[in-house]
Amino acid sequence: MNHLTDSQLNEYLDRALDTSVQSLIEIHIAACSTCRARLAELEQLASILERLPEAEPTRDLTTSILANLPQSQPSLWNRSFAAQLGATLGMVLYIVMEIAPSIRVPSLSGFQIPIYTSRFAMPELSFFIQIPNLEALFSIHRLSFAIPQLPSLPLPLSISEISMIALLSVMLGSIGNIILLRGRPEVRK
Amino acid sequence: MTSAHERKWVRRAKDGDNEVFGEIVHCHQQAVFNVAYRLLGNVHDAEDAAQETFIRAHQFIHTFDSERPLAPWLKRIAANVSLNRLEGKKFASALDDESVFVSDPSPGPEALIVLHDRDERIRFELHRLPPRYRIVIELRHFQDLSYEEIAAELKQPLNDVKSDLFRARKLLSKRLKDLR
Repeated sequence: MNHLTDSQLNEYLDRALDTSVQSLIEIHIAACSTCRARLAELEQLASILERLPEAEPTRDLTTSILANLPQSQPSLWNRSFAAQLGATLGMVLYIVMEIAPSIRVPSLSGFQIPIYTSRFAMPELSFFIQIPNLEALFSIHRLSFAIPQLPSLPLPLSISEISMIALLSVMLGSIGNIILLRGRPEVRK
Repeated sequence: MTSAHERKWVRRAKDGDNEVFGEIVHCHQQAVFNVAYRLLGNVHDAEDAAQETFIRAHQFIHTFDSERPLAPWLKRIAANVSLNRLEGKKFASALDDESVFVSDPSPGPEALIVLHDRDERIRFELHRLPPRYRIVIELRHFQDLSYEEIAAELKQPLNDVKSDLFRARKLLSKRLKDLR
């Protein structure tokens, strides 16, 4: 009887053969005590190595490893920063929408868009883009403004003005938070 | 450490959080040390190699896919670092003289006395193997790499890897016969 080669036995042990070849080898091993004994030696060696326990280093290597790492600044662009930036931009957008409520869709024959109207006591402060026709759609025809008149104290504040002040405060707080907490590691519980 | 926890730590380590990288070191240092110890056979050299492994891992962590488990990547770095150290050493015997090959020309006391401790005996015999046999045994039996993965890792032809592995097993099996 021809015996299996070392290569065949090893590859059989490692399940590295095609299924059909694997099956043929199994049939041979079942019938050949010599090859069966040789396979058993390999399996015993694999078992000895698998059961070898891990040794422990004589010391904790963490401190010396960390001491040899380059000190780097954590990246600004992380999820926390992105969330705060998104919230800030959202609030800015809300404020812009609050102070520019009178945007009108222009008619084709010429239109005037008031892009800013103040809610405060500054009635002279307004900007207009005069667009006489479609060909000049992106040209600014007239831009005029007057020096605002400062309101007298005490300021009569409406609900929308109070909400805008509150939103400005939160926005400034978020920006400050982003700047101050940048780079600090999160506190783990 | 759960895999989700590890992924989060890896992302933070990639962002430059060295405190988190320290936690990663703490979790994996024993496994990395053992790769080096099995290959180098000396505790002091293995600790040095483990340190070098983590420093190199920190340097290249930006290239690591955080969706994959960290341990196999660290172990492969450890194997490469240890192999580089072995290749840098001068050996007394040629590869052909396998029956008397001793990787360290001045073996420590454990090579001169009868080793009663089974585990130390196994480590001693592993360390007696030629480096090219030692590395394939490490990658196949302790890191569970396939023949193709070992060939890619060592940049060697597949047939050479198989040949080294089969000869290493034969040699080791003969030397550890009394432990079977």
